[in-house]
Amino acid sequence: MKIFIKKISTNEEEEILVKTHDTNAPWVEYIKQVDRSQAYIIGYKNERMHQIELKDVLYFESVDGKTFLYTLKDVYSCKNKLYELDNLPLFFRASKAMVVNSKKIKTIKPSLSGRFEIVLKNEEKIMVNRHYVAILKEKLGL
Amino acid sequence: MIKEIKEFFKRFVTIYGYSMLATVFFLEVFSPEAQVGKDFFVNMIIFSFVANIPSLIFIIKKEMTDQELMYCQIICIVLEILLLLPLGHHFGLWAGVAGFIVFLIITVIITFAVRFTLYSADAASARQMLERLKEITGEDEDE
Repeated sequence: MKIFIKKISTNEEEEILVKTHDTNAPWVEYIKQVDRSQAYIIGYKNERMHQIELKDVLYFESVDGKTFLYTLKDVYSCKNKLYELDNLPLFFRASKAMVVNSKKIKTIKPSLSGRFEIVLKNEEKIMVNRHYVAILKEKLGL
Repeated sequence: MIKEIKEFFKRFVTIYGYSMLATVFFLEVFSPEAQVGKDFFVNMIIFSFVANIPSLIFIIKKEMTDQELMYCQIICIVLEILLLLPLGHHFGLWAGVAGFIVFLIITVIITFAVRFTLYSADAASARQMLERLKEITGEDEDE
């Protein structure tokens, strides 16, 4: 079996293409597991572990060295560090203590102070420094 | 660092553009027969560069609180006035009390015009990001 690994720019979405004779082969299942591990994150609440889909996460926030993840309904604690989370596709660093899911942005508008105001789908407002807006632009391929 | 240099250059070009516009306007209105030499253009380049220096205060910290931002803006305006008044006088851009007042008013107008131009550029940038985000979200909904 041949393995191709191609380096792509940060603008492009990462993908795995599997060409196989048997879609139920164990190694195909293993690759599916890799995909699932990227789409979910483990959150803790009331001493219980919850598997949360990344698409449901609004943002991650670090408070007193602990990371919390926020969904529309709940807040969970999380073992991952912020620097690990801002590498997730379409998640971007909005401040020193916050990593935001760009798919959960409702509006972006500039403020006269030179910063940008981002309104999330839960109507929460975040002021983002120009430095971090540049990172978001890069992630969006602009 | 490259991003900061780009921002600095963008502001410099905007200040220079507005300064030249103001020069053309005031020359046309108050002394249509006056001519400006090469020195004047060089002086205006130096003037625009110096006018831009106080804005470097915003890059000392990546993330500022509202209060820090307000202090930086006040310091920036004070520094601009402290630098531009003597430099303007040295370049012969103003003389006497009346000249001083006119120069001060023009400087304030240019400062606001530069702010407005950069704000408009930011608004265009925000629209572009929103459109891209809509494309991405739309793609997901299709799936």
